[in-house]
Amino acid sequence: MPDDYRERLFGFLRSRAVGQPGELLVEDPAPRPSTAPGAGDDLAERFCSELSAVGGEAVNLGAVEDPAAELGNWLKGLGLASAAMDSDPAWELLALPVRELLSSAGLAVDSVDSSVNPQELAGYDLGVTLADAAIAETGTIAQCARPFRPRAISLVPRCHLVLVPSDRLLGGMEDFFEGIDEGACWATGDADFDSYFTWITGPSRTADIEKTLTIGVHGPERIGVFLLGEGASDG
Amino acid sequence: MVKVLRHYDVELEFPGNQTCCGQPAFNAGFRREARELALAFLDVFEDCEAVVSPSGSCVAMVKEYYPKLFSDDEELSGRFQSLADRTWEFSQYLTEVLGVTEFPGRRDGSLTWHDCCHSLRGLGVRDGPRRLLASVEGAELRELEKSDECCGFGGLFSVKFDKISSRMLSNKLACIEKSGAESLVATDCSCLMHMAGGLEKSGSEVRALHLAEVLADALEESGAGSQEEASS
Amino acid sequence: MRPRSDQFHELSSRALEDDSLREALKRASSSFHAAKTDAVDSMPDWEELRQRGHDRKNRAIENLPEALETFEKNFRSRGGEVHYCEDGASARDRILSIIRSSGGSSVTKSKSMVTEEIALNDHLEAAGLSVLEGDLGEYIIQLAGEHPSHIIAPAIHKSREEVAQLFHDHLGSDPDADIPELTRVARKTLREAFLEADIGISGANFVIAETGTIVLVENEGNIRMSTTVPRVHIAVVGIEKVLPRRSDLATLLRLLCRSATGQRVTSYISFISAPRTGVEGDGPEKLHVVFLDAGRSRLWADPTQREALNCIRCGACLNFCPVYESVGGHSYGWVYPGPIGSVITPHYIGIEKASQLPQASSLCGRCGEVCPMKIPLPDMLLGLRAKAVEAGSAGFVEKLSMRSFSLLARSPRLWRLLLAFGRPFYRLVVRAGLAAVLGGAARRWSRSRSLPLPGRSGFRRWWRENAEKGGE
Repeated sequence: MPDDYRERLFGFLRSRAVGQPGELLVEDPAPRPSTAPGAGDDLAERFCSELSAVGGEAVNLGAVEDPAAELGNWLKGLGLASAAMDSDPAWELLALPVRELLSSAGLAVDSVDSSVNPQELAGYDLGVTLADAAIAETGTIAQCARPFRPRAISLVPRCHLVLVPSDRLLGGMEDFFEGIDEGACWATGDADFDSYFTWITGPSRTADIEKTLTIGVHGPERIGVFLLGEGASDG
Repeated sequence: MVKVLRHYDVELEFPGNQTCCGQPAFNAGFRREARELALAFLDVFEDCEAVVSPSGSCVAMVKEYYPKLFSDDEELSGRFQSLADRTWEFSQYLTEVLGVTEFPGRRDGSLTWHDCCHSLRGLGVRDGPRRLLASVEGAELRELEKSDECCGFGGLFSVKFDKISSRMLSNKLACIEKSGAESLVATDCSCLMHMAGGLEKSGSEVRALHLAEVLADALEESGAGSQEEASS
Repeated sequence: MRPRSDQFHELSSRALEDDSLREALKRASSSFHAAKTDAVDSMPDWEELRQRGHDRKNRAIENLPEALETFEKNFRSRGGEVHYCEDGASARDRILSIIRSSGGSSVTKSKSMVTEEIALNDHLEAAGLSVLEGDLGEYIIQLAGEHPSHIIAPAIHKSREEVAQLFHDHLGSDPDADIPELTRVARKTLREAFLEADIGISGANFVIAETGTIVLVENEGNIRMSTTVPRVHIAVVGIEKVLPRRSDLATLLRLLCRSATGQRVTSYISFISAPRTGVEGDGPEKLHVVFLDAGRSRLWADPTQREALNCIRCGACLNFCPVYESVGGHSYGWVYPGPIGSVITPHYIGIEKASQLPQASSLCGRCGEVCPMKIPLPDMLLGLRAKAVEAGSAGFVEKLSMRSFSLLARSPRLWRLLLAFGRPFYRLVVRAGLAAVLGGAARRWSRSRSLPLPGRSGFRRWWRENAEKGGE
């Protein structure tokens, strides 16, 4: 589409140039704030306390004796009927038998990928995914667009279960962005990691009416994030 | 203020040619007039060793805005900056120049402190006066809820937008009443005048006093009566 | 949205008499205050963070043409389309034309102040499209036929009762529903629209030059719904929204979330750089950014006011402004209320149409203190007042008074004379209760305050008689 205004706008802006040429993208590293966890910190503990503080449910399976039982009990406690699990090939590499645990908890499990109709996803109570990355500073999990994972799987069903392989748990926001730039293993794949990704921190919420907090508006009202221990996956 | 400063053996002068710092003109956008009055101020005070004022907003004008008003003239803005560095709000002069931490004398009664906007945000005046007041024997300092919220004066704002100004004032009066203090104390005569007007109109018994009045009272060690309210 | 900023006096007077609004604003204010204070207290490096945010945003704004161009190049290289529109009218037309060529007719929209600026909804509806606001607060005011009164919480001026009545009238729900129930009703109604929409329209919190990314920050999930389900996603973005690099987001997100809602981070943050890629089965097929100028380039060209473009729309200045708390957002008559609104509205709609806004401030300075981007809002209000005077908009009486005042204040002898005579005269008038004689200002003062009564003699005489000689 023709854009006549573009030329006029740039002409105007350039005629009054203020900055120095080339300075826009110059690297300008900043010290991290003291609240961003560093390499020596217990990231799993930090992650769990941050997420719990905002109404999410976080469990460090690496510190639990029987991870399968722990996850199994949580699933049974949900009392839900159906689950949509994404078709991540990495599920096969996990030691934890997630699919079996879902079935044992009474959930009918279907595998879905990004070709599924979002309307169909509305028929499932629980969406199940692996996190691409997790950020301990804020209790955040990152999900990017992958062919095997619908974008709406972490949005439409009422509840969301996420598992985080230990090598994907990062300290702070800076680590996340650096990871993408440096092509960290969790930031690569069959699609460009960064064409679309979303950060999810806790359940959906609003305080638009009288500043009173309500959980579960358009997104899930419950999110359970389970951190996997070392060696829990061969991926 | 004179009484208190004299107590600390400060040699005082009152240049009779002083008039106004020009803040009302500046705030209304009349920069030409503001510059004219700034130059007149410079003329009156430039040769003084230090300048002290009982009005936080005037001092903020001198320190924050005078140098900026002449930013296009290096020489003048330098002279203004030098004057600004020697100009003090009364409580800051006591605490930062004279280093007063404990104030002598006695004044019975409960007090509550309001943070005037220009003193607080323009000059950083917060803990100094509270410490001074708390140190006066017999004085009971009560914290004012939302003490840093504007009283609604704002110079010409108080009449140009009088209804909004009155709402802000009534919010402030409610907090003053809630504190249960007998007197309200602050660093700015104009804000005090506005709050005193509201207190009186609403039939409140709370008195609005300048910090200097309270401290001078303490020096008299009688706790009764205040200095004749002076305005120039 | 048609501006009514020239009616600030009437609108604010009415607002001051609205008790329900007063309650709502008081509730909002204490909630926002507490949230922000806690959030800032939990960040010991807050001041450093502010400075960093200020510097990084300045870097983008000072290099605006390069920033926009870099964004465009990167965004387009991955399949997105970029448009530049001079004003609201051309932006509306361009957006409609994008929608028409996609063949879609149902639109879900997320909260976007810039789309309010250009009155997009009315234009699309007039063209026969169905437009539904997905953000709960925006949905409420859409049903009510109103405009947002706050940047972050658009329906903050409404009580639960009003919302329940509104939902009852439009959706047939229980007129006494409580807040969780009302939220459930909205979720159910909007979900159907979300899952069937052809077009999603959003704003953008930030756009990143280095990577060609749109960043969207929310808590509800409606933005994710509108930007991942429909075939077409259109982001309407002011040209000032650029940041230089993706890593700058660490700083800016920490500042925005804490300042807006007191959260360390919101529930959902979307980072969108491309439409559906070849291997994906979902996501929009078409992705558009419509850049809007509408007065921003002119503001950019003014070095004394340019910093207003650093605003990240957190609403902190509104939340801490005692004037906003007294009169609410609608009094400002346009899209942006509070201190930031008082600065940018005159620039965007013309200073003659919004002359009262920069005046309606006591200059208490709280806005500049809480702004996460260190925008010197009080200085900018002063700057706008000076501009108004330079442009000749000050009234004749005011101009004359200021000139006379300056002359008087530069003649010490005349000044002292005036004091000497004025004092007894003024005292007489006040004590006799004849304040009205002193004119309108005295009348307006006296409605809620007693006039000050100076002493019989002033400081100068006291000094001469008692203190000049260093006396007792």
